[in-house]
Amino acid sequence: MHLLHREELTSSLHSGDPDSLFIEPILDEDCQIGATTIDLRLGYDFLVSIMTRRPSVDLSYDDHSYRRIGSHFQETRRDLGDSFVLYPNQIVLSTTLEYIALPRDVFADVATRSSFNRLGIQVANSLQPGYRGCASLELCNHGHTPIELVVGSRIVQARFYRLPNEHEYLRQGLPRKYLANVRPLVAQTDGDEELERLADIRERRDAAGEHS
Amino acid sequence: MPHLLVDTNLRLLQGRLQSLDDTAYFDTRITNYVRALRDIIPQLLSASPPIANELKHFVARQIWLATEFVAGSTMRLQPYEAIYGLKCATREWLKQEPLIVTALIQEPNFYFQGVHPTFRKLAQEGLGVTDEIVQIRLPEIYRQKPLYSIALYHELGHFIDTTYKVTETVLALAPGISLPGVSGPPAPVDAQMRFNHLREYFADLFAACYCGRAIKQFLEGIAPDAAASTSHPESYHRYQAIEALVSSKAHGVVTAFNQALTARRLPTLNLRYRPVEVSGPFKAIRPVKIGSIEEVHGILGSAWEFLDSAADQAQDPWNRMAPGEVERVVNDLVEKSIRNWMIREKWHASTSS
Repeated sequence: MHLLHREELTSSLHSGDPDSLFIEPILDEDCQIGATTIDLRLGYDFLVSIMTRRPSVDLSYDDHSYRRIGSHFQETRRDLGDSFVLYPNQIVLSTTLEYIALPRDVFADVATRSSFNRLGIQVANSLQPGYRGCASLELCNHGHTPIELVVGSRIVQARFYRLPNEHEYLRQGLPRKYLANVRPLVAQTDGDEELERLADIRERRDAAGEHS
Repeated sequence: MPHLLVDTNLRLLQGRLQSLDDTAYFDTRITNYVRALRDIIPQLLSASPPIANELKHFVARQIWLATEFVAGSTMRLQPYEAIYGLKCATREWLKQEPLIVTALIQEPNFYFQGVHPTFRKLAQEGLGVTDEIVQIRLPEIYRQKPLYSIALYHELGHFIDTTYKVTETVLALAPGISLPGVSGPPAPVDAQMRFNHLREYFADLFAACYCGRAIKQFLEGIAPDAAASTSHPESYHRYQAIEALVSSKAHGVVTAFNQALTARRLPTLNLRYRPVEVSGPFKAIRPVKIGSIEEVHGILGSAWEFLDSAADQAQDPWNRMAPGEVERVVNDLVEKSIRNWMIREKWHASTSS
């Protein structure tokens, strides 16, 4: 794996090749592109976790009163330059302001910038080769004090690694859950076949009277 | 107690408007409108001598109606990118950008709801609301579907028509204007139908100025072969008028409107969009970098055509997506393309950078 540096990042961004690196909008190229990273900005759509009647977020599918994960979040939007208050221990889903398209041989990891780490916000995300969409930001304030974030501020940075082989992001018969998303999405576990299979295993065991 | 219910309604509306004001919102003009509506209510309730019951009922109804739209616009559920396109479209027609408020509804229709002239005067003189208010209802399920929100341009056309009395001007200049499918003796019902049909033609043509054939394609989707009614012309005749404007061919209705608009010293019906090359970026599943306001409008028509060709999922990359994903991805790419233009516009307009 090769970590792309500034000249390689800039060259790929400007190449015009449909399989080159694409990040849009980059509002201040000099400011955002570092030696081996590109700073990305906080987007404008948010899904804020809320308390519901349900005692927990249910991923087990064994309850007839199962509520979709989205029912535990509330949608809101801000404009560029507006503030968004991140309360201690509250989960908020957002995205980068930028839409990102990765070449088929480039992988990226996204992590909070140092200034935000020091405030108690940690984001860690990875983007597969060929990824398309705004990168998801799963925000959580681990400190004790609410933090006023500013929409459009540079909150995370991405590192880009060239791989020895190309990989298809979209494979026939294997739909991507988060393809080309332009707004935050809750975890798409509802259609997760593996979770359904695990629920089936549990039901069969219970029906047979076995105990774990 | 004839006053009881209307007074109760006013107090309930005051509470609703207060709760909307409590929810911080990023459009100060909407916030000011909410506050103006809220603040008139105590005056109505405590006026001495008391306000006539009939007038109080009227004002309460108008405030209730206005609340429906400001509530829809302050819950952060507006189709922001589509509304931005509408605001751009008004720049040529109005001296000041209007306040566009939307209400989300659970039916497959769009409606323009004019503000009652008496209430508008009251709002201007009594509440200091100087903004023109454009109230539109749209289906909630389309709020994140810019391509399916192009009918908003049609509704904005109704607002422009109402504001400048374009249809009335056409009928004043040519009382016996020949309209497709409208014939017979000049009976009152025919006159009303003529008026209604002209209004729909204008709204269609106004939308076509910004969205081109996409408005025709949308009409084909929602009312493919609708026969003429007292309120609407036959779909076929609407398509013919739109097609004539888009392909710059002569059409009696278009000519009549342009004569009326010229007489009113207003802009005429002309194409105000620039097609956008979406095929390359969209096939790479990337948004387009829009370069002008004309392209903000133009991407809607271009993306309609693109979606038409991609929807059968016969080609790469669409054949690798789940059914229905193509429509979702194309709409999202259109939304992000417009949003990125809006972000750049704000960024470059900032004096602090």
